[in-house]
Amino acid sequence: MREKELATFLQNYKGRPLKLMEVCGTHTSALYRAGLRQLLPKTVSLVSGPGCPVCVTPTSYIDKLVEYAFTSGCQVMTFGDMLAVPGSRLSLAEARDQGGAADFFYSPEEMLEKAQAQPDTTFVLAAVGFETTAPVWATVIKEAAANNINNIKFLTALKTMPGALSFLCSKGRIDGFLCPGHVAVITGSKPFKLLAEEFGETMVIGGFTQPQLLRAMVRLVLESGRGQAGLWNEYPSVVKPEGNTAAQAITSEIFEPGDAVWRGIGSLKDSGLYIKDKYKSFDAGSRGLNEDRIPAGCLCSRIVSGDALPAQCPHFGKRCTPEHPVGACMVSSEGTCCITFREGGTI
Amino acid sequence: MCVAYPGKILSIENHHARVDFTGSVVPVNISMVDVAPGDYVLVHAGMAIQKVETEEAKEWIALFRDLEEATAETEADHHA
Amino acid sequence: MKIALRHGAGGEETSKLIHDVFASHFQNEILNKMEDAAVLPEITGSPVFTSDSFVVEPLFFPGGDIGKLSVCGTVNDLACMGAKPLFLTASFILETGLEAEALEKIVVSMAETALEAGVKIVAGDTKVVEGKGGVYINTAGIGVRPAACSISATNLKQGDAIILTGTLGDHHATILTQRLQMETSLQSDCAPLNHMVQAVLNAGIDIHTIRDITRGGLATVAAELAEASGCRINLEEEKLPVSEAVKGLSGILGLDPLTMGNEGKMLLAVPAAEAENALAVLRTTKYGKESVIAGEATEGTGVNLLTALGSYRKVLPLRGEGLPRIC
Repeated sequence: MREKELATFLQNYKGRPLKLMEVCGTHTSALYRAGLRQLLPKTVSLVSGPGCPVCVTPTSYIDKLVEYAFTSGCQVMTFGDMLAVPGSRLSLAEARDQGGAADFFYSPEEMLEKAQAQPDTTFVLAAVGFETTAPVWATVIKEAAANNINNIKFLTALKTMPGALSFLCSKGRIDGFLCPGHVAVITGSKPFKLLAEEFGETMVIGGFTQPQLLRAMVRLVLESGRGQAGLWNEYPSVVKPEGNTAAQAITSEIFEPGDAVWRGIGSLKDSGLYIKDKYKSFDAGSRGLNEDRIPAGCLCSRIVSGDALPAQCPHFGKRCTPEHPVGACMVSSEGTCCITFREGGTI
Repeated sequence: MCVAYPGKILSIENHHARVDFTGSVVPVNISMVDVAPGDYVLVHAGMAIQKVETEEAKEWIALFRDLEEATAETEADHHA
Repeated sequence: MKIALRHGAGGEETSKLIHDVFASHFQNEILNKMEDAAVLPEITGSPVFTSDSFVVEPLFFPGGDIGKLSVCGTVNDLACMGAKPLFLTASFILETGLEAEALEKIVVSMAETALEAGVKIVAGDTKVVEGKGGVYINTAGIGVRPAACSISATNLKQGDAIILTGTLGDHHATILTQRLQMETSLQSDCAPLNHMVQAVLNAGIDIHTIRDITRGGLATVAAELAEASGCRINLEEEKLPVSEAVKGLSGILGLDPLTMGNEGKMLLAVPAAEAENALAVLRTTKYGKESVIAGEATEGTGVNLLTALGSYRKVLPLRGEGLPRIC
């Protein structure tokens, strides 16, 4: 089977040592589930960058949602995995256990019907994500406006990848990037090509199934191993050079770029998306949620930028485990520390 | 969290389609894609973000070709 | 007619409810005596005893309902110890607002499942509390196994073959589709598995361990067994049976079938030499037709998965709440 040949290539790689980075939380868990990390030789390290939207959001964002959960007349709704993330004091799941109103949805659009059915409740939606999810939120906000559904508000924590990738490339310590496949579906491969050319980086856009990831990783190891700069698209079934222009259009109709704080990296120019003035009545107070309470000794900030490994953090595996997490990287199921802990090894 | 998964369009009504994920049928907003029943779409959080084209056969071929070239180059270097 | 507080007060309305709904469907010579407690016939062998409570929402779902689940759950727990299930109790806490018709459907379902499993429901209780039409059921069950039987989690041995009796995650996936109000072809796999287990025992196979794969899925069950027995369990990804429907649903929701529970599947650990025989017997039974050998127990700790790419990765038990109230 040809896939076994590719697997063998990775295991037998004897080229120069490589430090590779993936920047998508869904890639982090897909790589773990596929058993791909375990195929890499010791000379190739694959670190996780800031691709987990939950991990890069400051605690003040969760705190604001918790505040809403305890506000009479409000109902907070989020994606399922956000419920467990702690703010500076409580997570939404803990708030719910204490009588706060917080629950999860599968699709944000279904919240519109719910809001119409319960006009006396104000629904506050946690609008988190990267470029993949921004157009979904944009569509929902536009529909809310068009149908005069005024009891639905959005607390946004939307971020865009190119700014973060630029920052990581400029630090110059990464030999190759596995680029986020579904972000690229929306943005197209072009922005990644430009970055690869600007910084002389090796970049590969990868999919998410075992065969797609295997192919992407082999391409990444092959090309960064021989020092080839450029962009390879190993997910062409859905990633086009220009991306999804309809999605880009609706995103820029509702949102505008603004500076955003990435936990551990700091403020990156124009790396966030905020609701435009025209739709500001739907904003639940998304700007300015920059305060971040990082526990002493927690290395999440350096781990998320690929500068440190979980094993180097004094809390990893001791004070900080998935059962009792200290920082965001352990709380989120897509966080580097959580994945590493579960694999029982080091990256 | 960019979990997206491909499903098949069964029927369309305005901006929504019924999409089948090998046994479960979910209503999906298709306002960002140009599709017809029978097409496959990649769905994220209830919206179709792209139509899925056919198998990535060319990419497999290209990768194996490049791997063989690279292996040949390495062997040539060793022999030189 | 809706259930009201008076139905649980212990007076005439309670008697009528018990008579009309419960007793008329759970008929057997012990229950019909309507005493304060059930006098059971003598049992030869080791009595095996268990209890389980059921709070699933919604009450009715494709493939079953809370009633069927409450009988299967307890019957299967007894079967997991190699016991023949004999007698069950069924206690109900009903919330006001529940339609009496719905209650009767649940009771009929329990009676049918008990008949299939060959068990008798011999005692029970009913209370009514204020609420929104919910139902909570507790069943306790007594069974018997030969005194010499040592089936137990601690009995899993290195070298044992790990057999799975069918596809993973079906029940959990079905409940999810109902909660999210999705159209689906998925069905809960809820079923009484005692006859299936008995068939393997009757064939003389030395079963070391049996576990039903419920909340938390195979990952959780395997982790518990590995810890209890002091062995490592290796599973093979390519052998794990998962239906296309469960794959599709877990795909769009970003879930892992390894952590999704069933209500009608078991894991059996048998000596390697007897694995093929065990498999053959299982495949002749109603609920074991899709049985496969999915791995083995070896030296070490924890649970590992041999991926399709030939590498091993760790499998950890479900963390967090998963989805609440699936059983």
